[in-house]
Amino acid sequence: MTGSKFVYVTYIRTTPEKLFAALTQPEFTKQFWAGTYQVSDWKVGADWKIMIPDGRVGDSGKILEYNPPKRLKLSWRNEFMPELKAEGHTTCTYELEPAGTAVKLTLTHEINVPNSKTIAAISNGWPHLLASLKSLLETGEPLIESAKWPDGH
Amino acid sequence: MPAPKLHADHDPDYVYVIYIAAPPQKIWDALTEGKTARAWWAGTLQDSTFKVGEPIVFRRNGKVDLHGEILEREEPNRLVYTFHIEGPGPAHDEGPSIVTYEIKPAGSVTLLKVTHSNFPKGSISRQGVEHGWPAIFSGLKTVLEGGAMPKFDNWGEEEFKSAQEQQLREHAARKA
Repeated sequence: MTGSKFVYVTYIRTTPEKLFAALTQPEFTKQFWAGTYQVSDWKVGADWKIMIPDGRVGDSGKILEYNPPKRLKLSWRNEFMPELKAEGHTTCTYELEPAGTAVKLTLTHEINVPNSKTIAAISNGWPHLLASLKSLLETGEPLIESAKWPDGH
Repeated sequence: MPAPKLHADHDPDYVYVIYIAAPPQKIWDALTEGKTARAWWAGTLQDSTFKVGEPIVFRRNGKVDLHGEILEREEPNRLVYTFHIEGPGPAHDEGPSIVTYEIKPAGSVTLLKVTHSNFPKGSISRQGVEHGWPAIFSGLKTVLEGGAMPKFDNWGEEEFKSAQEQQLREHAARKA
């Protein structure tokens, strides 16, 4: 194994359509994803970026696969932390499958760099964000700590 | 009771982290509840005093699924037990693995970290728990945050069964 990879699976009581919208649409991401929102035409080959509430670009890349509500694959590079940006583009894949009355979400985030600092950083972030997303869709309330961009970051 | 045999050549630990909007004690209570067939754990009933050195037995549909022994207990923050899949089968033959729950406050919510370790190289049990734990802990979060438990078509048994059959086929092919 030469690369670095993070995989996370969560089950959310919702529909694939709602979950796909929650992962991509500003009215949802602003609530559970630290106030951020994504900008894209959502077509294969289109540019894609995450905007931080203060106007900076958080991450950017391109749409590699777009198949709502089942699958979304993005190239993804951090833009505001130089040592992560230097590692280049990761790929992030969301897979959504119906599982009874829930939806199974599998997130795979990887890069062909051994011991990647980017993958280490997102490995901490994703469980918190996806827990907040799950709470938002199931209860109407995100987790408090992930609702706002953290001060000083 | 002796500590489980540790595999010198082993698969990486399986780690699952989830944040739950409930206090640590509520999570501890749910993880150590032994009176009901817990919907969020595939209808599994667990039987243990949760005291160090005491046994733990998991039953599902009246059948023993797993058994083990409590190794460490620090209410409400940490519980460690051995996890031995019932036989017969290659998963049972791998011997006991070790499950650690760590429960700690994280701001206004609680972080539950599950580390499942001591899998031999190429472990079949590890493939099974990889499918099971995310569904179990996703359900726990739903229930503790006041929601109704989702109904799943399966709990990863299909994946576990096919992984187990695949391994048996590979064993047979190596022997042939």
